[in-house]
Amino acid sequence: MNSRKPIIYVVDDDASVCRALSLLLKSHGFRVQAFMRAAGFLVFKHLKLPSCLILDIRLPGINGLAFQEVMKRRGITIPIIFITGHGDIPMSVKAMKAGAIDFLPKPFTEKKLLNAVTAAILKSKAQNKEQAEISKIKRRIKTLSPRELEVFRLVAKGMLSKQIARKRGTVLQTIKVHRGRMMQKMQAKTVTELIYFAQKAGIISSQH
Amino acid sequence: MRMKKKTKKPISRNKIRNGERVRLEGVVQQQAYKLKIINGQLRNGVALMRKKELEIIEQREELLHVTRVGKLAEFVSSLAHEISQPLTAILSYAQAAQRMLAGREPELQKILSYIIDDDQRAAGIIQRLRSLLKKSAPEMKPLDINALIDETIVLITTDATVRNVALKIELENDLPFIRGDRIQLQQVILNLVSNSFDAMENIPDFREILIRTSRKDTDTIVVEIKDSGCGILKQNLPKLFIHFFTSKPDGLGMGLSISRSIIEAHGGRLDVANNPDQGATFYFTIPIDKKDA
Repeated sequence: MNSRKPIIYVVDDDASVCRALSLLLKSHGFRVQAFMRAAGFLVFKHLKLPSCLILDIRLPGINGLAFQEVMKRRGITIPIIFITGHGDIPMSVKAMKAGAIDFLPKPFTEKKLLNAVTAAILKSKAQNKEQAEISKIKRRIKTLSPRELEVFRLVAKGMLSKQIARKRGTVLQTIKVHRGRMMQKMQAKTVTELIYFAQKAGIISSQH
Repeated sequence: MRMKKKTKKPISRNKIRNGERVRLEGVVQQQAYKLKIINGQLRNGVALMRKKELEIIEQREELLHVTRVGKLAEFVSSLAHEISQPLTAILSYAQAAQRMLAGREPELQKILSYIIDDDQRAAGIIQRLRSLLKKSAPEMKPLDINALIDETIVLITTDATVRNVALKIELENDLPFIRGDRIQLQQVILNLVSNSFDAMENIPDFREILIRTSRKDTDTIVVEIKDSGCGILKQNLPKLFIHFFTSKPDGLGMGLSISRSIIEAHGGRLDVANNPDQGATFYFTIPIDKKDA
């Protein structure tokens, strides 16, 4: 259980701020990893744990908003809490619009920090759960034969077995066999459930 | 007889020249009148000059004030940032310690809460200072950059003469209007020129500043301020626009960083390059007012 402790990343170029925040968060039972450079955080091997990033918006070499972009491009989805020693309102608006959890002007109280961290960890957990589900579905899809995968696509698009048989120029019975095996491998009890899987795995768009 | 003669003679002379005298008196009167007019004009001229001089001094004062307030605001903002770092650390240390002591050492707990209170008091002071000096938004208006430079030149001519610097101006004709805050842009130009003055302090012979405007492309104007000063050391180039960086013994290191932030707020760019022969050229771009394009 202890190994599932959420991990909080802190990136601030001030050594004392890093150390103090680490101590405070550790005293609340979080695992903490602090970096004085943004690059250090990027090369760190991220653990598959609920996590959040406390990020100073002005770092040497890169500003926090640009860093937020870099993370997005690299597919790092860890929720961000920005902290700043400047009173920059326009920056905070941009950061929030780009999906930050919160924007805390320094110095901030323990309570404000913990509220933000709690919200970030909840979001991270939801994200992780979602990602776990998606990879589970993708693993199941990998077990499908090419024919079964095709039937999966067509069923997910709302086609009936009869229509699929006509389209493929095969008898209904063959399609029904493929379909049955596909539903079993996908562990889908109903077509509705199958469509949900297809959406999650990006086989069909959710607007469909 | 003699007396008679003596008195008679001037009378007769008077008699002879009487007509001439009246004429001359008329001329003198006329001349006096003209002189009076000229005198009046002169007096008006002097008064006008004095008024203009006062206006220039006033404008200069106003600009200096803006610069000073601007510098102070920037200074306070930087200071607030610097101080907020240790305040954040102190607050977090104290709160972590409080948490670790949970339920024990009530005396120490109390001390920790005093530390936290005072940390927040300091934070409050900084916040008030910051809101006090909050920069007012620039007043953006369509501007003729050449006219603006002409106005600014007036403010530095005396300084240039005293410092034995030749001021050269090359303004491209018929430039479209730009959009900007008059005072702020003047502040930038004055700052760049005053840096150039300082850079030429120890140049014995050739001291010249060239201010040039030109159209860079369809939607940008560039203003260059070229001097024949000492140039910029290569290692200083990347640090030049950073707060508090200065190569002058009594400099604050604020001028260029403020100038750059002003130009950036106008949607332009301020940069510098050393000249191939002598000195450096600071240049900034500024977008053309879309309505004028």
